[in-house]
Amino acid sequence: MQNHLLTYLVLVPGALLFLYPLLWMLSTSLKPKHQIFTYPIEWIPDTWMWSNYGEVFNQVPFLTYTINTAVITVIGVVGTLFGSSLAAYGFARFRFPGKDALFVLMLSTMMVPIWVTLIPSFLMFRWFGWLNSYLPILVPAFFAQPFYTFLLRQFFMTVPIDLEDAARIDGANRLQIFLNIMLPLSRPALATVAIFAFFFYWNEFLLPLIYIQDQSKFPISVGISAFVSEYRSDFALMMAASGMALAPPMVVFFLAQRYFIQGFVLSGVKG
Amino acid sequence: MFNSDLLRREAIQGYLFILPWFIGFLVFTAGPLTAALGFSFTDWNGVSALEWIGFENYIQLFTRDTRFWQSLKVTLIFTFFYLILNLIIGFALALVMNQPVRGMRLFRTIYYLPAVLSGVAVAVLWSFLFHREFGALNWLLSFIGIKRIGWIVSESWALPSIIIMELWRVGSTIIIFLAGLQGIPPELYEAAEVDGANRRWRLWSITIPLMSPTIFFVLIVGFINTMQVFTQAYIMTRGGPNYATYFYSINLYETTFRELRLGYSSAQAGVLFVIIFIITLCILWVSRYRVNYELV
Amino acid sequence: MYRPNSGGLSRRDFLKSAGAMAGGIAASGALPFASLAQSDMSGALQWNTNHNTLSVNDFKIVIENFNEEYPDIDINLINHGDAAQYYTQINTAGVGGTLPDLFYVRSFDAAPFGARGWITPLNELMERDGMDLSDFWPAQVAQNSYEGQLMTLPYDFSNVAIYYNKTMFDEVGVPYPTNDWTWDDAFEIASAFKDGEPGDQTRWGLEVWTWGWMMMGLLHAGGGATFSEDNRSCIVNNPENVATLQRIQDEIAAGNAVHRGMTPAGLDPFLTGNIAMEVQGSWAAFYMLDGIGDSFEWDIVKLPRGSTGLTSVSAAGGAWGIATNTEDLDVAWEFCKYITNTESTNILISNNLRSVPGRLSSVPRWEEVAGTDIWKGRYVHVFPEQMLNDAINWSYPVFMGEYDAAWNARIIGVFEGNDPEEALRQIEEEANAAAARYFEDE
Repeated sequence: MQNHLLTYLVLVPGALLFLYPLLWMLSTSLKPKHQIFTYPIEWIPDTWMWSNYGEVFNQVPFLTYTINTAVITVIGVVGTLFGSSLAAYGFARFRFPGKDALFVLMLSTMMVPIWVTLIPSFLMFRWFGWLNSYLPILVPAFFAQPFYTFLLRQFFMTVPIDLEDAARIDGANRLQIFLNIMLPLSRPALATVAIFAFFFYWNEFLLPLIYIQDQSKFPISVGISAFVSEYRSDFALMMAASGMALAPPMVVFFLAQRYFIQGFVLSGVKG
Repeated sequence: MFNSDLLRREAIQGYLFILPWFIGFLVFTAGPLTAALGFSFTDWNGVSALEWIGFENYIQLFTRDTRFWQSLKVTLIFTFFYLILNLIIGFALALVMNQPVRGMRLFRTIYYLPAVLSGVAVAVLWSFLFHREFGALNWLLSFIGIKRIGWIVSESWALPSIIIMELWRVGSTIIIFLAGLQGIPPELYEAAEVDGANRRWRLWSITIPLMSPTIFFVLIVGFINTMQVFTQAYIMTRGGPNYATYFYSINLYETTFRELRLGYSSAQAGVLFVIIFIITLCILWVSRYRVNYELV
Repeated sequence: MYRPNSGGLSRRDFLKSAGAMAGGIAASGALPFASLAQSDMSGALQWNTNHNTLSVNDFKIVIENFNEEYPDIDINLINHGDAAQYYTQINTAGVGGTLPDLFYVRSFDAAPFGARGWITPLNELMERDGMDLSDFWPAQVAQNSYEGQLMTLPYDFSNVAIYYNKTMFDEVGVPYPTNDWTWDDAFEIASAFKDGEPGDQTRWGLEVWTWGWMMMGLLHAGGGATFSEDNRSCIVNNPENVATLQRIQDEIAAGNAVHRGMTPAGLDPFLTGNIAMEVQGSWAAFYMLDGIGDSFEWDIVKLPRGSTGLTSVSAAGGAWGIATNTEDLDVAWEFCKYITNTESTNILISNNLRSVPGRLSSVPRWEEVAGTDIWKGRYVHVFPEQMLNDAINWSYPVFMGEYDAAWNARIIGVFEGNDPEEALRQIEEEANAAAARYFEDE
């Protein structure tokens, strides 16, 4: 009991500190103009400007942005799971010459700064005729992401090999084993990767900024950012828009955190 | 004969499984990277004809470019302090959050929330918070008698300000540590309790050794990401005041997108890659003597 | 080669043309659009802007008007309000050869974008359509030109003055500033508003801004140059400029002035009545009207004179460039002409006093709006007047972007107490290193 009290003694003030900027964002988003920049700070709005949120909704094609983001996120997550799990299985369960070297090579691509490849990639995708589409963002997802491949490989290695051996004796080929045995067993790890990838694609900003020209194709990240920067002089609206963009990932995390943490536990993040 | 046939088949199947990755690697990473490497030996602004200048970009970078050295210094200082603080705070909070108390789901969400946020809004929100005269941070500090701090307009406080802002997003580290902690078999603690071990002893002889792979993971991934820190800092300070927050990526961005010196920026990016690579290898090397894999 | 000040007019020529326009004679560029017959020209254009939402709403109105005359031309407007995002997009597209057909080009960008071959020189098209330069501000023509060619058609042209809070002046009992004042007067007046020791204040007399191009005027008023006459090198490190910056630093340290620092654009202590006077641009007048509302009385006054006795106003603006990679130059040119004609300029700029219009023939409309009740006789005329009388007819060097970056990196440090001479020396060095890169091939 005393233990719990101590826990709360740390967590409650800590949570307030973490929430402080967000509370300010919320308070600002509901204030009338004249109250935003005052000293000493006034936290409670004179009049509650709920209309700011309505205004954002009127100004921003929020539904379109949300659908676009959902499309990018779903395809991105599926692609990530597909490509990364295949590669992870290859690295976890097969012996072949150069495996370690290739694995290190894959991990080292995590270290390539985005700015290095941005312009050559742009030139390449232009050559492919992929500009103003989601292809430059989504196609690479299907070809395995190093970080997720790494996580999945760690998990696959902890799955007992006996199950696969049994299936092999029954005549199943490696692809069937992968699909019918490994993947179902790896649900927690796949869930973790899915959630990570969810946040990644949900927030992805730089690539859509560069590749997407039509406003009707914008994801929330770019759309809100364009809105926010456009409304710099209207701070309340800007904060309202940011708050709205934050809501969906927040709900996802609240609901999915069990899988999130569990998946990590099971994949036993080991070096 | 039979054995080598089997091995060959296994190898071929293995290659087939990693083939998609390898194709992706060639097309989406190696290709552009090779192009960038090629550019780094040229003087090119994206429009002019490529002019081969050998190692001139690299020579200039190391011998005549003060901005390069400043950006490297800022980035390394930032990375060092941020990583250590991130590790300590993330670990401590994960330990606390590993207690089975009521409302933990809510707490985890609250602590994780900032890590989900990104983009212009966060940077603008924080420049508001950091405002010397009207910011909520100095307002809060005034209650404990701390005089106004310049934060992002002060040359000495600007870098710590960005560290504070980034530490606000410690949530993802907490989650990873939390997962690691939950993976420790409770039997180990029970046994220790039977032996009468105290809390501190349990921390140092069970928790930390068992967590060392996770700590190591956070360190490596954190290092790679931190070396490339950009968005928030760029929007908030543009690298100022007086280059106090001039991160490597900001320099890279300025060279690429303001000055359009694509050959030179490719050289800069290449050097960053090599730096990250070498330091990562060093961390890996050190970890071999420090990280405990046997117990897990 | 880069030629500064090409096509400039003498002040007398200029006043003459201003007089002509006041007589209501629309200048040449506006005339071809008088007819409302529909055109069968067709095509699709991508138009990229870097503006706030009020301007974007006006852009949409102009697109609608355009489509009444040109129903078969589709315009896709994309706005990125954040400058960094905008430039990331433009620069990537520039290298990729996929620039939007029409896009926003600041005064500082016309030369570098021209040098990179991204925007189409317009002289030939203007000649073909019988347009001349007489309806544009000479300084803006100079700034928008590269190698003797006009590169962009003007949108707005801005300068800065001082906005002041009359209510605060009344409360403290200080007489309002007058147009013949000096920076000494300004700081003297500002000192009356201090409400505590520096570090504890919540009220200041004067807020100064830090933009490089704007400060060029301030430095000029103090007798110091920023660039050489031929715009090929930076000479900002001189004793006059050191003295000017030292003065501002001292006043800030004494609590008489405060610098803008890195405060986000939407947060303005002037609007909340914490600052009595603010150096601000012509583009802010509308935003002040809206943001201040009835909370206090305010007005505008000319920028003070420096130690040379000159006011030396620096001006810069925005304009539209046509991408060299556009697939249909004629359509893009037609649209570019349309959005910069007098009628469109009235809608985009003058109807709401969003900065000073890029066309002289839109100034009468501007003056008309400025005289309406909503402006309550406030001295907004200061902006076109300063443009006529005090603006320095200079253009910016091709390395202005790099100069600006170097300036921005150092200036806040100076205002916070760093040695101005050391900072100026470093700015000069960095700017000249950039200049050398531009000129090394010659």
